[in-house]
Amino acid sequence: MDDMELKNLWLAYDQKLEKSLSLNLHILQELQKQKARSALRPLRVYNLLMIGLGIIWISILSFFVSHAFTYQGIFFALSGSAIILFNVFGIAIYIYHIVLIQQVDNSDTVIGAQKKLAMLQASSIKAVRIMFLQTPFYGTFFYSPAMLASFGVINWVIAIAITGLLVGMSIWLYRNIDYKNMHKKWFKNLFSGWEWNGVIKARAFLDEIAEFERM
Amino acid sequence: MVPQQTADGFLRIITENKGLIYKVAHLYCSNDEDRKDLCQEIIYQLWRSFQRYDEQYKLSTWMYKIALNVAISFYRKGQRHARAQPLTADLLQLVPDKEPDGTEQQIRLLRQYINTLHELDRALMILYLEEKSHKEIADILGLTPTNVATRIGRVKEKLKQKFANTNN
Repeated sequence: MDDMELKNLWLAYDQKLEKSLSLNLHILQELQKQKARSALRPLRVYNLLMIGLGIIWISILSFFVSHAFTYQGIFFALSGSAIILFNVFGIAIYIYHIVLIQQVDNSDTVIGAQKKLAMLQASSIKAVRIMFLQTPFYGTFFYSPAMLASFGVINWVIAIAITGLLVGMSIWLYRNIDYKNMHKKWFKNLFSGWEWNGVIKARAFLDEIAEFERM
Repeated sequence: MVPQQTADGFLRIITENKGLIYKVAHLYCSNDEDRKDLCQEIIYQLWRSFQRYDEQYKLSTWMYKIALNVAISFYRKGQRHARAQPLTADLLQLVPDKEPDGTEQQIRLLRQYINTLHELDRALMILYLEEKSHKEIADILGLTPTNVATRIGRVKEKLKQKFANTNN
């Protein structure tokens, strides 16, 4: 089948539709009266909710941390400050998502709009890998100079082992949570569920878009 | 409140271009119920965007951008969109031919083959078959005209190959 035959076939399809396709004007008028809605609304609500929860969590932590800058409370103050910083970063990502949602416009070019949508979904994983870096601070906030002074050898071994393990694990996760590892079993176990499947598909789609643009 | 003139203008545009919406929905949805939803979603998004439509841009370019973006997002979501106010009847209805001819079979095959393409190649092929220029296709998709020409050549080859395999 050559080019002309393909186009003639499509033209025949067009003529057939012209002849036999009818538009229900009543339904169309009903559709025009519908209130504004957006397919991205649930995602916007979710991001706003996470920003709200993040702000509450940071406010509570900040309150306690601001009262903990004493010699005995120094571990709590420093660990809490680090956790606050990571959560501020988390909120910044959710704000970035809201900005991306605002920018998605169906009258944009197909590549432009689809890229923004896929980036929106795929960026969640970047946030998660950075948020994992705060884990070790959850293992240090309860120490105090007085507690450390009373530690015996076994206590020190346990404390160092737990902190070391958390540091090692969070760095390893930060370095390995990457799409190149998405076929690995640990990755699939960590990111199972429909919401992550969407994220992984979005990443694959971004690669396909890049391939599409390259040729 | 939308001015009556705007609402009437939109009705006219949709009436004149109903085939475009049907063809796009048909190539991204094989399920009848989903297709009904997709047609409604495309028309709804066109209506929302129509109030901001800038007449300096070509109407078909604007319509294809929205129809294809909505269809690709719908297809990628892989499920029916939840509608705030579901409409029960079909917006677009096709009266089937009483006596389908050989062309009907060929058209079905062509649609089937286009359906097997990657979603972005599918968009490219629809625009090519609609006889859009490389420049307009590039404007709709967000590619360069050279890129469009190269890709069209490749996708056409794939389609021809499929037809050749069927005929053999």
